[in-house]
Amino acid sequence: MSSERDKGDDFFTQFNFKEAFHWYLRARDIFYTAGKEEELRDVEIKVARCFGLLGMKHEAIDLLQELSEQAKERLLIEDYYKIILELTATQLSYGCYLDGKKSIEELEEEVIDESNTLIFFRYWQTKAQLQVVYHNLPEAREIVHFLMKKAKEMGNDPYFYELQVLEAQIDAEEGDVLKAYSNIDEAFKFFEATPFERSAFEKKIILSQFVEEPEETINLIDEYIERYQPEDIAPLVFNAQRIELELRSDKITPAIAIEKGERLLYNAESIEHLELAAKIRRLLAGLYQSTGDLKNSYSAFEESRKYFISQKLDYEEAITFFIFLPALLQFHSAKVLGITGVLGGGSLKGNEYLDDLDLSEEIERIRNVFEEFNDDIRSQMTLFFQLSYKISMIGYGDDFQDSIIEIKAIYKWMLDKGEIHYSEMIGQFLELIKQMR
Amino acid sequence: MKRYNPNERIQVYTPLHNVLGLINNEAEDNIEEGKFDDLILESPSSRNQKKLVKQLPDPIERLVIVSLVAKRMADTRRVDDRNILFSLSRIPYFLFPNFSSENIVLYSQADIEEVNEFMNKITKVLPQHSPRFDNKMIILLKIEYYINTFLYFAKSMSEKRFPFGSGFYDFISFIIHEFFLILKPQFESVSKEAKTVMSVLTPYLNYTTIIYFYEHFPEQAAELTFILNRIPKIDITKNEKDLLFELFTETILINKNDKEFLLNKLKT
Repeated sequence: MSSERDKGDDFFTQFNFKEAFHWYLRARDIFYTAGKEEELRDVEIKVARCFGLLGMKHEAIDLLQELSEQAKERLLIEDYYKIILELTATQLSYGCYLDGKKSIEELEEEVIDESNTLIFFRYWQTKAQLQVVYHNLPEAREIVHFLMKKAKEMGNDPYFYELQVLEAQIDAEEGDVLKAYSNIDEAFKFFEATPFERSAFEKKIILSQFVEEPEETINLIDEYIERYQPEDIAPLVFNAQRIELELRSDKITPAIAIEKGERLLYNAESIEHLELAAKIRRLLAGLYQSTGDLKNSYSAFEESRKYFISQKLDYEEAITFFIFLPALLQFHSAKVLGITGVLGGGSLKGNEYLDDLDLSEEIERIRNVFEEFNDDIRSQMTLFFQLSYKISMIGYGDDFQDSIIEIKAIYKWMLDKGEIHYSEMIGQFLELIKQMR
Repeated sequence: MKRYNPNERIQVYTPLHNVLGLINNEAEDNIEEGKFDDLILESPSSRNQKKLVKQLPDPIERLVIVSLVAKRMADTRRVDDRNILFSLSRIPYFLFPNFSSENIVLYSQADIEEVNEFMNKITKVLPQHSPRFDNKMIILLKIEYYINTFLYFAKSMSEKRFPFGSGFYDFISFIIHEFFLILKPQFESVSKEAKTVMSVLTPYLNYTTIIYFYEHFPEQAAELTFILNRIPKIDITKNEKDLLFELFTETILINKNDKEFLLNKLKT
């Protein structure tokens, strides 16, 4: 019917979103002037998707909201559901989880049945994804299993494997990364040379950092970029990951990592990708600390935390706090000694948040979060910080020996786990205590 | 547009003679002796980029020297421009995503002159407007500017980036993208400086370019809208204003808030 739209579809399946966008816009013009409402709506959803992929968040959301109102007025139920699902996906991809949740709650569960597979799967899949984000893993798994069964019944293999990718994500969140990785690998092989290939590859990269050496993952990222020549915003996430990996394998110094991170932050901020910006800020908060720039570190920490709190992402917020914790402890002891001016050039002096902060309470809080989310390593490390904080407060009192014994146990545990970085940190602390006595 | 032909190298580098006078004799000798060659051949990591910045702190000098070194290497080593461009292209933050030896196309002399003139204008305006040297944004913008401008300039001579438009529009597209990227997150905190930097674009954002841009670079519509909303002045006649008003009202490429702002701006 419209060769422009077909051309757009062609480019879209080749991941060439810029080209596709051009053609969709042309097709839109044609349908608009011809007054073909149905086709127009269809192509506008595609345009909105391109908006989202190419970094134009507000344009995408505006358009989808307008379309959804239109569909609602005209009682086009199916279209309405399709549009709202697209809107949710866009909001989720920019880290606006609460907005996305609100959007999807507009849909009525009872109306969605298997007669329209596309809506049915997308709706439940999005729900499962949201559950994963908020770490309600059992619920997420339940949905995925239910869908997998359905997909199998229908003989719909692509959906089945797509769900396998989602389940792998759940496995990974629960700590079973190896299993997750092999599942993804299997799905990837199935998807090879299909439109789903790219998203499976993306998940593979995200998981690869937990199972492979940093170099391997960097190679994967290179392969990904080489293969898809991406022009959309998705690969920004990998650039952030890459900085972390290069740091871990000592390929770059923290100073260079800061430079790269800042540039990436500009990218994320300019397209208002909230989640990515917060995650880069979190990385930067750690990096600024290691270069002694407490002022910038604090503002990065504050901004990043603000986002996670706004989206009610407790776990991510706890990690942010955890990363800034060494600086907080340092600041706390400086305050006790009355030398806050030395730290951060007095920039943090008189800071309301820091003055009112009850550090021991906060440490306890994030430790509980880590325990709840099965993050053993961070929870042990937080315990170490808690003990060292206690020591700094009580001095060499009765509990001192007990605390040291506990810290030594953590040290051993970290060594067994192969957490070189953390065990080194604790080792240094123990050494310091030994010298002081 | 012509296909790449190594014999036409003279033409490719012609505009460089305009900038030769900007460096001293010593630097010129150093270029001849090949002292800067490793700047280009070494892998262009950000570390090396830093080294380069340290060695040649003046941005204009740096730009000229890097260009001349590239030219000299092209002339003496019999490496063709593609190799040099390729190695330059790997400087971080400015990748040539679609580089391939098959699709290298030469721009016309007129295109190059136009781009060159624009570049001159920018090199003239920018250094004067960096009143806050402690301000990271301006420094960052400047450093990236000179290196990237050269890269883009070199590239625009031998490779075509987008399927639409002349080299001139490609260049504007690049500049708008950089402005958006760097200025948007910080606009609130340094709006005065940012506006000054943006005003470089004033003569280039007229009715024709705006219309052309929305048509041919729709993926950059948000970027252009950002600039149009914040640039101190847009130079258009009453008639053109009405036409633009119509375009902005009807397009779906601009989001609600920006649209409202833009239309208000046009009204005044």
